[in-house]
Order: sequence, then structure tokens, then C-alpha cells
Amino acid sequence: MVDNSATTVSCATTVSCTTAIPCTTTISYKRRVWRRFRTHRRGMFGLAMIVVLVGVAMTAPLIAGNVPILCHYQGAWQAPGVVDCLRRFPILDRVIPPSYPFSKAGFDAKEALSEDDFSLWPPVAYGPSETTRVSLAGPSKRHWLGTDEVGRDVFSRMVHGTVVSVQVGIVSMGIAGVLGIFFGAIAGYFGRWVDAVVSRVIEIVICFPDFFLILTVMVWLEPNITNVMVVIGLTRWTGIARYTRGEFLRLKEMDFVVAARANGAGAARIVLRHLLPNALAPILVTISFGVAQAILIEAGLSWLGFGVQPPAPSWGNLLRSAYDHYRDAPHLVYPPCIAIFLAVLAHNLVGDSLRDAIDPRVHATGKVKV
Amino acid sequence: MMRYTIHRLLLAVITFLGITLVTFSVIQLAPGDPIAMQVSPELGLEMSQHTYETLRAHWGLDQPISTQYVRWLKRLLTLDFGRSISDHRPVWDKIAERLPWTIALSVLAMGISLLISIPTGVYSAVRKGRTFDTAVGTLLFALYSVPGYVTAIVLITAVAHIPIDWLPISGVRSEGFADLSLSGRVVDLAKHFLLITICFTYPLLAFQSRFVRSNMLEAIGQDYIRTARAKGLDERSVMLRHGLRNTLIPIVTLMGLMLPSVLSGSAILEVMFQWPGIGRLMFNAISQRDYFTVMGISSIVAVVVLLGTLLTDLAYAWVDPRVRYGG
Repeated sequence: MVDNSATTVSCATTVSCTTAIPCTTTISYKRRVWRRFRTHRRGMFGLAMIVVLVGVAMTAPLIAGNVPILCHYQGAWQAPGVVDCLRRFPILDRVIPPSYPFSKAGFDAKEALSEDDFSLWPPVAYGPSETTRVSLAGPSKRHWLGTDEVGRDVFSRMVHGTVVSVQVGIVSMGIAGVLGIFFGAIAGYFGRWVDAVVSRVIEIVICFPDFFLILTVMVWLEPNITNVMVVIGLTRWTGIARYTRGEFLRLKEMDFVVAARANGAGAARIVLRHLLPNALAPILVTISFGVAQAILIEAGLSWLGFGVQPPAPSWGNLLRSAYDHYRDAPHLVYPPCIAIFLAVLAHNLVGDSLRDAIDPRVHATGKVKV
Repeated sequence: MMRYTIHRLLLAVITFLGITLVTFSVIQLAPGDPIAMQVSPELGLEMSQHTYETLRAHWGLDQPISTQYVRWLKRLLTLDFGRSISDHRPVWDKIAERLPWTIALSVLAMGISLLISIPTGVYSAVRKGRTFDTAVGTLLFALYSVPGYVTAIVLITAVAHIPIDWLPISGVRSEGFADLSLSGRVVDLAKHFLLITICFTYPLLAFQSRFVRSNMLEAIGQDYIRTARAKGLDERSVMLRHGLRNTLIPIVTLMGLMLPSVLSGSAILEVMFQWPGIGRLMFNAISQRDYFTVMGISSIVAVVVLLGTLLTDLAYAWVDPRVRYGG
């Protein structure tokens, strides 16, 4: 498999060299990486898991919730589950009104809907914060993964906890990506003193005991998901910056960049149109591993009590209640552990395969090679 | 070499100032007043405004942050970390009794993982694509994706349910430790070390083995390996004397780079196993807004990390002259 891909590389390189138009090279390069990535079964498996994860996060209220997806209530058709699901997205929450009376505090849809009313419920008809009388019960037909110490459905909490992990992964790495690409790009492109300053700053930030710093900052800021995401993003950009810098240093001497400059392209255009698209794949590798790290850090922070605050569901909070009750309720331990493992594994698989697809010789760690 | 050393030392000092300044500002800006936290409002105790002001002045908290930072730095020059606000003990003493436990764990974990990862990585590289490589590679990849604290919870639960009475899951010493004979003490300590060391070690092990393997593969692809083979050396000495030796340098660097995350990543595991280490002390100090203890720990950890990085950098430059001149 590896040998095959190696021959594909050399073929593709010769092809792109003969057709020396920067535009087509960019496209073919992306396609080439994607084509090689697709041959990695592990990477595709990881990608599939990420798609499932994001899918679960986006449709959480339809998988587990205490309002019906669709129902006929007091002579009118309503879809409170769908409304809930859509209203969790920005912008949509302003456009779509909440479905009355299901959104009212204390309104119990299970009580209100009679037998005769048509209602389509989510597979697990419990909300993540809905308490029942059975606490610390093992898995059953009604509660697939059992209930926690105050009788909340663990499956429902797991599903809604996915939202936190997906959000943390996307937003924190978004912040880290913007910072890292910006600093890496200016360091790599301008070189000289800009590079010296940025490189020193990166060296300093790398030496920060980052988890201690995150802990300290989380005490300063009120612990909630937004702050967790921002802080992780602010401390995790150095890897991306180093990668971007390295790629830019390598690429800026290449013919297509010289050609672009000869054509009169300015710095911004060269960076955005020519360098960045070509450097994007290696950056995505670091981002993929970074998402895995961010999910880990969030769960760890929430476990310590400095992350997402209970009763809001997050995998870290579930891990905490599992730890607090490991003697009387071992069934609480496995769901968050397995979920964290799979989420981290998926991103690591994608990162690893993508790295192989770009260049089998590139390493994620070690010294910055100039 | 001299110039390079001075350059690195200077950078280390700047980094140290940077780390302490950031930590200092962050914790000073944090809401929640260490003085106010000393009295418990839930017990109905209240502090008069006068006492409060006096206490703040006593700890120097009424000064602007910059003054406080400079004062703190001045005291640091005489290795005085001040006293803990929560229990009034010298911060240095608090750290000194905790640090060995964390250092012991880190050294154990790094040592064990090196001992296992180098042979595994080298053998995987030599047998690239064979059953051993694929099997070990898959296993290590899976292990690498399981965070230490997840394994810790699973292990704690497992030990509590499959009754293994002799295996303790928290603390460092059993009751009646003082009465044990010397060998009894060693065994008791080893038991307490077992689980937490496993959780500390295997993520490093998984990462390092993969690192050794890929570096080894890169080394094997070089021309000097072909030369060594061509002059008729047997495969074993080609791999060990020419391949592995060139792989050792990046491994040393990797250890240096991993030190910060090993030390600060210890917090969760130490809290989980109630380990009397620096991570748990930090966690408690942060919860109590114990400024001087937090600052003390941050500085000590920063110094340890910087020393580690400095030594690896210097070792690297000493071995590989290209680094010195590369700037």
C-alpha cells in the first residue's frame, strides 16, 4: 500500500511539473492528498467516526429528549423536538420561536399528552437534566445505560455531552488555528526579525506547563464552556504556528511563488492564494491531533470541576459522577470512558492517515527543522 | 558552543520571567479574595473591615500588581517564596515535601517508557510491515488514544470490584506504615506506586515507541546505512550502531519537550489517586486562591522544565554542531 502511494506521488509530481500553472497544481495537490487519504482504511474509519460524532451532536434532542419529535397536541400538530434541535444553532434561535407550551419550565410533555394523541418520541425519552425516581440503576430497557446519582438518564446525558466535546474541539482549534496560522505565516513569510520574535515567543509558550496555566485561568474566568474553549485555543496554537512557519519557509522559495511575485502579486495575495492553500494539509494534521487534545483537556477540566459546570452534561462531568460512585455504580464508568476514547481515537486516526497521505516522511513532533 | 550556551541561558531567564509574570497577573486578577476565603461565611463568621484591611496590608495585597510582582521577584532572589496564605507555612516547605513524589513518578514513568519503547520501536522499524509491526503499531495507537485518567478510573473501579484487597488505590502509604520492617515498607510503597505509575507510563510509552519507530525508519533510509551495508557489516550492527545511534538524539529532545506536559498533566492523576504530589498541591492552592503557593509551584515547575529543556538543547547542540550555527 505504501509503495503504491509512493509511486503515485512521483507520477503526480511529474505531471504537475509539466503543467506549471499554479492554479491547477493547487487543485491537483489537494485531490492527490485526498486520493491517498482514501486508501487508508484507518483514516477513513476515523473520519466516519467523526461524522457520526458531529451527527449525534447536531441531532442530540432527536436522539434523547423529554419532548416528542412530532405530536398532535390539543388539536394542533407540533414538532417541539425538531424546534429544540434547530434552536441550538446560532441565528436559528432568533428566527425560530420556541414551541409553546413544550418549552415552558415545568411543563411535562409525558403527562400532558394523553394516550389518544399521536406522538413520536426520541428513542430515549429522557432529557439530560430530567430526574427520575430511580437513582444509580443499572442498564435497563428504559434507561439504556442506567441512571446516575440523582436519577438522570445516562444515555441522554452522554448524547447531550457529545455537543460539548464537538463544540470544544471545533471552537478551540478554530481559535488556535487562526492564531497559529497567523503567527506562523508572518514568521515564515517575512523571516528576519519577525521570525526571530515569533520563534522566541513560541519557544516561551511551549515551556509553559499548559495544564497548570489552564487551571489557573479557569479559576480567574468563570468556569463555563465558552471560557474553556477560549483558554484551550489560546494555549494550543504553538504547534500549528511551528508547522505553518516550516511549510511557508519551504514553499516561499518555490517557483510558483517566485512566478506570482514576478506577476506583481502583493504579500497578502501570495500568502492567502498561493502559500496557504499549499500549506493547509500539514496544518490540518496538527489541528486534527489538536482536537483530540482539546477534548481530553475539556473532560479533564470538567472532571476537576473547573470546566463545564454540572448539572450541564459533559463527558467530564459524567466521568466525575462515575468516579464518585465507582463502588456502588460501576455501570457509570464505561460510557464516558469509551466515548472519550473513541473521540480521541477518531481524530488521531485521521491526523495520522492525513500525515501519511501528505508525505510519509513528515513527523508531527521533534525539533523544528529549518 | 559558549555563545550558544549563553544565548540559551538568556532565553531561559526570559521564559522564566514570562511564565511567572503571566501566572502572577492571572491569579491576581482572579475574582475571589484569599483573605475573604479564610473566614467561612457559612459558619456565620464575619471579618470587620478593619481586620480585613490589616490582613490585606500584611500580605501586601493592597499594593498594585506591578509592585507586588517586583517585591515577589526580589524575595525570590533569596529563595524566599513567602508563606502560604491558607495555612501560614512557608511555601518552600510545602513544595519540598510534595515535589519528590511527583519527580519520582515522572522519572519512573519516563525511565520505564524509554526502556520499553526503544527496543519496541527499533524492532518495529526493522520488521516494518510484518505482523509484529502491525500488531504492536495498532495496539500502541489505541493505547495512545486512551488518556491516563480514563484508564485510572477504569483501574480504580476494577480493583474495587474484583476484590484485590492487597492493591491500594489511593495515597502513598498504608496505615501502620511506621511499624513495618524495611522490606515491608518497600513492598508497601511499591504497591501504592503500581497503579498510578501504569497510568503515567503507558501514554508516554505509546507515543515514544511510535516516535522511535518513525525516526528509525528515517535513519534507515539514509545513505550512510547503505554504505554500512555495502561495506559488509552484518545487519545487526548496521541497525544498532548506525541506525539507532542517530535516532537517540531526537529521543533525548522529545523527553525534554514532554517534561512540561508530564509535570503539569500530573494534576488529574494525582487528585484521582490522592497522591501527595505537586499537581494536587497546585489544585488545592488554586481552589483556595493561595497566591504564594500557586506562584511558588509555578516557578519551581518552570525552573524544572526550563532546566530540562536547556540540558536537552545543550546536549543536542553538543552532539550535532549544525544546531549551534543554525541559530
